[in-house]
Amino acid sequence: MKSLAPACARVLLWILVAIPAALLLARTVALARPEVPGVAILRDGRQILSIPLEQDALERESGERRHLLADGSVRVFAAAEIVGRRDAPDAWIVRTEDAPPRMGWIRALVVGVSDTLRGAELERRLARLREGRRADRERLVQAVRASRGGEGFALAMERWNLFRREDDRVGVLLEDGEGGVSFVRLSSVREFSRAPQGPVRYALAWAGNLGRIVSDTPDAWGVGGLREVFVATVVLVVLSGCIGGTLAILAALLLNERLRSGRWALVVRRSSEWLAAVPGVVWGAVGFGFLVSVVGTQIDHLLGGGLRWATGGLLWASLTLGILAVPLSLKRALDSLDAVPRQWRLVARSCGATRWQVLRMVVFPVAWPSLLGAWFSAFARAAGETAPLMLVGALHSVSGDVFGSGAQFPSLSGGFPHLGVLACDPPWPPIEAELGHPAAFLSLLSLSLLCVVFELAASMFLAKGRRAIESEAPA
Amino acid sequence: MAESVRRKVPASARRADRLAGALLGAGGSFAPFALVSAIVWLFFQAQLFGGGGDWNRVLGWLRGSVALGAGALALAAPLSVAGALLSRGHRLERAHLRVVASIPLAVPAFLLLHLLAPWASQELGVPAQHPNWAVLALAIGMVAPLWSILSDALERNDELASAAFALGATPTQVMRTLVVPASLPGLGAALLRGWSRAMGETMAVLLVSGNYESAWGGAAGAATVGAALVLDLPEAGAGSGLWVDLMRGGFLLSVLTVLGYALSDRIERSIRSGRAA
Repeated sequence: MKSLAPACARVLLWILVAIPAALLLARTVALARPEVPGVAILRDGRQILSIPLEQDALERESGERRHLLADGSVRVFAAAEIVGRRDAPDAWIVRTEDAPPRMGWIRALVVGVSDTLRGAELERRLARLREGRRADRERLVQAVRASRGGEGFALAMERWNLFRREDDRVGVLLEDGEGGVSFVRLSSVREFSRAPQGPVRYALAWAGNLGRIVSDTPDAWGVGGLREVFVATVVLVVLSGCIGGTLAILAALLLNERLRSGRWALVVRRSSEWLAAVPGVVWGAVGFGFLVSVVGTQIDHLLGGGLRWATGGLLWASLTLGILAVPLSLKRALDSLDAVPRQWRLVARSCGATRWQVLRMVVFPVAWPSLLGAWFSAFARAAGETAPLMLVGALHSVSGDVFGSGAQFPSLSGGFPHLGVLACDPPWPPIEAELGHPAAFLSLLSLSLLCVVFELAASMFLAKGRRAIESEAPA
Repeated sequence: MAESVRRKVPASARRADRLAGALLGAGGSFAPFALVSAIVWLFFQAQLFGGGGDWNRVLGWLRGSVALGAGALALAAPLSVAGALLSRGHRLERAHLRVVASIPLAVPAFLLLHLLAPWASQELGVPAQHPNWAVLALAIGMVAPLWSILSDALERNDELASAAFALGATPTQVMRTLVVPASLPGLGAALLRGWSRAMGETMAVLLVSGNYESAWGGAAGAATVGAALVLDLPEAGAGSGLWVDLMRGGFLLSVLTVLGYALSDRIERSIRSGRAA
């Protein structure tokens, strides 16, 4: 039994980690599969282009199923309503920035007033023209932003307006299969895709989808990837960890090395530790009520120029998470300093060393790994909190070109996307989630990984510090 | 420092000491000051002794938080206690535990909501959105943190256990007659700490139960303090009745959780000092 008990405990522990991780990973991979449009044959004889969406429990019970239609809308069909289905390998899925994904057959590529491409020529030039238009647009947007308030602004705006006028004449004609034809501007298209043919192409498309989710930029419809969400979350955690960890270490040094014997020091020490129990969302409420509503309003009032700091943003979120992370980091830092034998300090002091010299030459050399571990604890604590961010700046909705290369992202005063909030309260319309976009699963998996990495770093340094002190301390 | 010694300490070292003291004083006092100021600010916003607001609503939220925490603790405690007893004295598991405990509670809640709840709803007829799912999610998420706290409480009896093993006791005897009885106050303190942590969890509730008008809080509004803060605070104007209620809820929840933590801390300290004596 003695050898079986720890094995059972280890299995239980692995179950707690492995099952959620495996489920998140499996769903991420499964949901990244390429969509395959097909033609549904209805009982009344009509044939419509659609992608069947995943059924939920209620739909499985009733036999109903939602379908994404050619114009990007979703319609529920009863089981008896659809009598047949055939593949549509030549149908395109068009993902744009300003509308839900659409489907259809591209009949023509319009390039200006007189030039229209069809057939093989269309297929050959479609991707290159799209990339060119998007690159032109990005360059012009950058030029307008860069010249704002300067001499070249009028010229940049003139070029931008010219591009916009021309833009309405460069695009594709998309036929939905029921006689309807719509014009899609080429510069707004993020991706043209068709159902991959054959298992190898299907697997490559699947892998490509996964890669795109990690490396691409999201937009107003949630199409694209999570690149900016990763960046924003890491920036937030690093800022919060640096603020919280540094403040906690300084407080621990003050309480333990300078005010060690005072009664007030004990009161401050205990109360700071106990505040670790205050829920994160309460710190979020204080951040919203005080930092955003009071301090932010005052700053805006002083600086003028409209509402900038009186809304949630990266700075307020970092400060909130930083303060929230202090108690845990402080407790670990105090424990680390307590572990250094008191006699060492007394001996050094009795030899005439100042308190700073004691700290620098006696305490730091053995306690630095533990203090570093305590510092990393603040990062881990900040990474694991989601609820307070919903009050102090995490984006609840995304409109327009928030993340494009022209946007000023991430900025300290602006809202930011967060991996935890993305999973719990997605800022995008649900259409992408219904299409099987695995963003929510992947974001939770990444957030867990971030927490685990920082906690591992903290644990590693704390253990190293403990060993360093044990090896130095007399038996 | 005696004057004779002070004369031997170079002036530059004394200056460096004074500078370090000033920097530490300024930087080190900021965090405790900010923490305490935040709670004091919350206290004034809560207007506990003023009129206005709806105390029934606040008490409804608090009841929701306390009940949710208790339910999660009741489910998580047996598994955590078993795990802590089984893994006694193994430092490796303790390090793993801390890492597992750092995984956000939103993960089990999200998985339950997306994978288990629809299945259970279809097969067993259980509603897919119900506060009980939040209790279950919280319980799953609480196992590792609670296990970690319980392991700390149990570790203090390792020397007694070693002595019992040396006298020929079997592992079961040691567990039944020594470790469990001697650790009971520590286990109680650890459970109290776990409860105070579970009370403040928000995302699991928001995700799973949808929160509003659920069985816990009746029709009075959001079910737990945390969820009410997230959902309602951005809409409540500063100083309005709803704002005051939310701040009251936040402050009282903080008081509850800090009291639970402080009490468990006190129990642990008294156990430690008793053992040292």
